[in-house]
Amino acid sequence: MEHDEIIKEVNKIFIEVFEDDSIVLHDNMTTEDIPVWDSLNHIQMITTVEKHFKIRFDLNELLNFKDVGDLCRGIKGKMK
Amino acid sequence: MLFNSIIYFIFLACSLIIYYVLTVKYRNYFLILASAFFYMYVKIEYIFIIIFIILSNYLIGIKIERAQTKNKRKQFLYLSLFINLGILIFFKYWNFLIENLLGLFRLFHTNNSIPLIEIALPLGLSYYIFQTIGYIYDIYRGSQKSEKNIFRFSLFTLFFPKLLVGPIERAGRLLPQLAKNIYFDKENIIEGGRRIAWGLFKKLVVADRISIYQTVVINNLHEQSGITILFASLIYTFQVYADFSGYTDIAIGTARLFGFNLMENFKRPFTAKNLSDFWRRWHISLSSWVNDYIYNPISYTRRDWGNWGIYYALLISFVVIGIWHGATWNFVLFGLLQALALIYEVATRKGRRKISKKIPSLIYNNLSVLLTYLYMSFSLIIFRTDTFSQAFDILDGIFSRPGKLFFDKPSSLLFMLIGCGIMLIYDIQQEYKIFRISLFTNKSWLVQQLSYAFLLIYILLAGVFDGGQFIYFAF
Repeated sequence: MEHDEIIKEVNKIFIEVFEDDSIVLHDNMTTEDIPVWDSLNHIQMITTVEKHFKIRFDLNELLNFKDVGDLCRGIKGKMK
Repeated sequence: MLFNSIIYFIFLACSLIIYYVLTVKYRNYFLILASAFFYMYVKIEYIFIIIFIILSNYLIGIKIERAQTKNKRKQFLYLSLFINLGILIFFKYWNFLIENLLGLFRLFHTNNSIPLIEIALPLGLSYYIFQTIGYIYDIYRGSQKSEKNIFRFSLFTLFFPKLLVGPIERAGRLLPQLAKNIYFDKENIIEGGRRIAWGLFKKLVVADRISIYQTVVINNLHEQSGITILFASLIYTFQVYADFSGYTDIAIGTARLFGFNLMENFKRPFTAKNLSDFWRRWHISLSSWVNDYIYNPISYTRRDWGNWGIYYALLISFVVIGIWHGATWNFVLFGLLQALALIYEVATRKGRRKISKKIPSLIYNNLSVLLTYLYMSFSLIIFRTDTFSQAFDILDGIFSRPGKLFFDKPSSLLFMLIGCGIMLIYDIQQEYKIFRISLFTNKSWLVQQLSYAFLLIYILLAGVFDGGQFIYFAF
């Protein structure tokens, strides 16, 4: 799966979890850019991503994700 | 050395002149000396604790980075936690733990004697210990390189504007700034000076004026009417905000004078629409620290528990925030109250969103802001008292004693309310940009200068100049 495809899939998950149809993701986006994305629902987004892509992140990977790009690269790394 | 004392401003002026007169390569060395002097001004002995923390964590940071195996890295992490938390527990929590342990023994009719220690908490300990733990944990998880320059690492810990009451800085933000050459910039002096002026306004005019009223009311609690105690409780929230954010403004302004940018600690908390929003705006350097180093690791490892994992992480995180403020059960309860409200917010998120769509947003938003403020004011009754019975006395007084609102002089009340008003209008303008004309950020240089001149005159007219202690010094 290519990076662009992954970000499209993740975008759908963001729209579903954060209940906001207007979200359009790009690599540099952080919690600052999406007001409804906070540490309380971040974990819901992560578990939905893991179920969707059938992967499991370890703690260190989760702690080091700084933006959407990191998350998508993390997904790609796990799917190899 | 208090930020609102004359001696501090003499120290600051002298330090600033020497700093910029020295050639660039000696400036950081001078800041280390100035910071050590600043710290030793209150009590000389405590410098040895901070030196020990600097040296041990400097070496452990390098050891973690160079360790070949995960197990070895973990051992050094635990060593650092043992040293840092050991010192913190010894100075801050020892007596609390022993008193509760002895209480437990008495419950089972066994007599034991464990000595209590009578020793003052070294100033700033909770702040620089948390900063150091953050630095070590970042190296452990691989997101931060260890600092090899011992002088730079010393200044990272000692830098006097943030040494006593924070902001609790992050290595990734401050260490790169300390590695740069700082040159004189007029803009830093102007912006730093303005920020200090705001801090002094919040402390001397708002916090210390409210403090006079609080002292009269709380010292004579049983003679006060319910409406007076309620009013004192509601404005205490503004007092804490003005006191702590005023201190932070002076800290950030001072650092800016020397060419450094410290992190923001407050982001207009009284515009928060719920408690999770409030905690993203209040004491940000502590709440984000707890988020990154406690809440996230716990909630990530417990993510298979669903919402229960989030509740569990919230409980632990906010009990830590509560007890970070001090060793009393009231602080534990304060933390629990925050956690319970946040758990409620997580559990009802979808339902509340549905309700919000049915009510006009102006009403819903303003009501949410008001409720958040009222809940915080209620929590601060627990926060400000040492025992549950004192907190109960305040609550009992509010609901059981009819009477008029007390104020000694109309002018005192007026100065207090005008001060609160200016502070709140400034925050609301920053958040919502309601007014088209802004005074302090006006494009016209003259309007800006006049606004700050008014602020300074108002400080001289309405400020309290008896050197009142900052509330957060005690933590």
